[in-house]
Amino acid sequence: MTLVPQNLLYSKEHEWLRVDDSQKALCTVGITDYAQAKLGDIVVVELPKVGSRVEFMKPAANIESFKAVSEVYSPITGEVVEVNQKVVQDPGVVNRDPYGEGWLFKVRATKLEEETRLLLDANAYQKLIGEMS
Amino acid sequence: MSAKTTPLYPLYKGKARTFNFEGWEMPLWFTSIEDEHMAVRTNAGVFDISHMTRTRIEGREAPLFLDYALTAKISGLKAGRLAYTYVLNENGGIIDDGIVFSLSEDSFVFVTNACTHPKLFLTLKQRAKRFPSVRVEQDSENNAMIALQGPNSLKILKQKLSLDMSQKRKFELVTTDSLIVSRSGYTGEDGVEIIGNKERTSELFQAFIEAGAKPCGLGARDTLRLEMGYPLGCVDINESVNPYEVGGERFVDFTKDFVGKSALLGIKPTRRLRGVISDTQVVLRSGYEVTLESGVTTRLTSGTLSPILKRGIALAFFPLSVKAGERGRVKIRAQEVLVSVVDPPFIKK
Repeated sequence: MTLVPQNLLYSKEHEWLRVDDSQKALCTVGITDYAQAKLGDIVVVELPKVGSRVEFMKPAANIESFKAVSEVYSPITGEVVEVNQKVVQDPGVVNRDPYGEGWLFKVRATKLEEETRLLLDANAYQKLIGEMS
Repeated sequence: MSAKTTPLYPLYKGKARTFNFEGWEMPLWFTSIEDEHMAVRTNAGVFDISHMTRTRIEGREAPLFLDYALTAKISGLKAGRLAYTYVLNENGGIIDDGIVFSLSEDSFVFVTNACTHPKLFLTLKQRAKRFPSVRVEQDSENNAMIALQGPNSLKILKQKLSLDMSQKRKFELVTTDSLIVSRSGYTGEDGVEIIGNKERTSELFQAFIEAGAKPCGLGARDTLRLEMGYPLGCVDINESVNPYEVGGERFVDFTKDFVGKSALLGIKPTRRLRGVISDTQVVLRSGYEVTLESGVTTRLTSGTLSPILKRGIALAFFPLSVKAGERGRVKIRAQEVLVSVVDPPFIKK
């Protein structure tokens, strides 16, 4: 059973966004349960540098499985304020807990309102992956 | 055009994550490559390897034909023995590597890679023309092949097939109950490979799982063989590679005539397939360029991340002057990763 938490927003490329503080426009980004299952064992995670800029639906990170390297697109534009060292040390965390301990990076968004409107809610994302299976 | 499926496909359809391998829809993994890899190293795993090509060679002159067509000495190979061999082209290049199973003095099964079919079969047929009494037939259609590998594999085999292979040496086989069971494998662990009809082999595949063997896909098969430094046909070895370059002299018998012999006798090797290991946890991949401190550069032919070592491991051809322990760098996207040249196996067995 693929997990799709209700409180998150989703991109068509299987990234999730959590708005942690809408006043300060602080968000957390990760990949979905669907994505981690498709990738298989995640063995290397390459994260953006703190302070760097990420752009809506442009590559921001790399997740590598035995099979291939996959680009992670940022579902939001802004400045990277924190990255999760835990997934760099133990990439398997992204497989085991993609919505919790497996978060990838945090962003201070510059176009929060505008871009969150372009993302999918849980039901829409659930529908999307249902159609893909 | 959709991929072919093996006789065992119904057992894992919908259960394994599959992919197209050389035109076959094969399991890549069942649960995870790492889990399956570790299961084989610590317990037991079972693989569907029915996609591999099986050719049956029969007739009184079969041993002579095989002596001519292959590099290994087959005449004189006792019934019940296996022999690893190359099939060379006229220039000494490796068309494929494979294993000859000697069933009797006039009956053999030759197992080769899926990627060289049908060229390998057609080559054998062509070479058999000078031995008209020899029959060379495709033998993959109506049977299946599985591998049971790991420290507990023989125990599981005994439990489920009432067959004790522990008394047999490596590269020996028995025929029992319309099955061919050989003490062989491609993982570096003890274990067996079994050729049999669809029904019997399917039963055994499931029985082994019931007895505790983990079903494993080709993903783990690749990480396991790479940890041992075993080359893979069509990937590490191909017709631009000769046996000297992969340290394969011992699988070539120069006392007999064989296709490619005169070319081999005239070749002085200038490179050799060696191992490359990274300092850190990265995935080394085919095509990545490695530059040694001495300035030598080459490309990796195959690679992965070793689940046991947690370091990248790969194979690559280097000039003969390169010594084990030499240091170098591999460029992976934005990073430069430090590596060493080593002689496989990467893990101790």
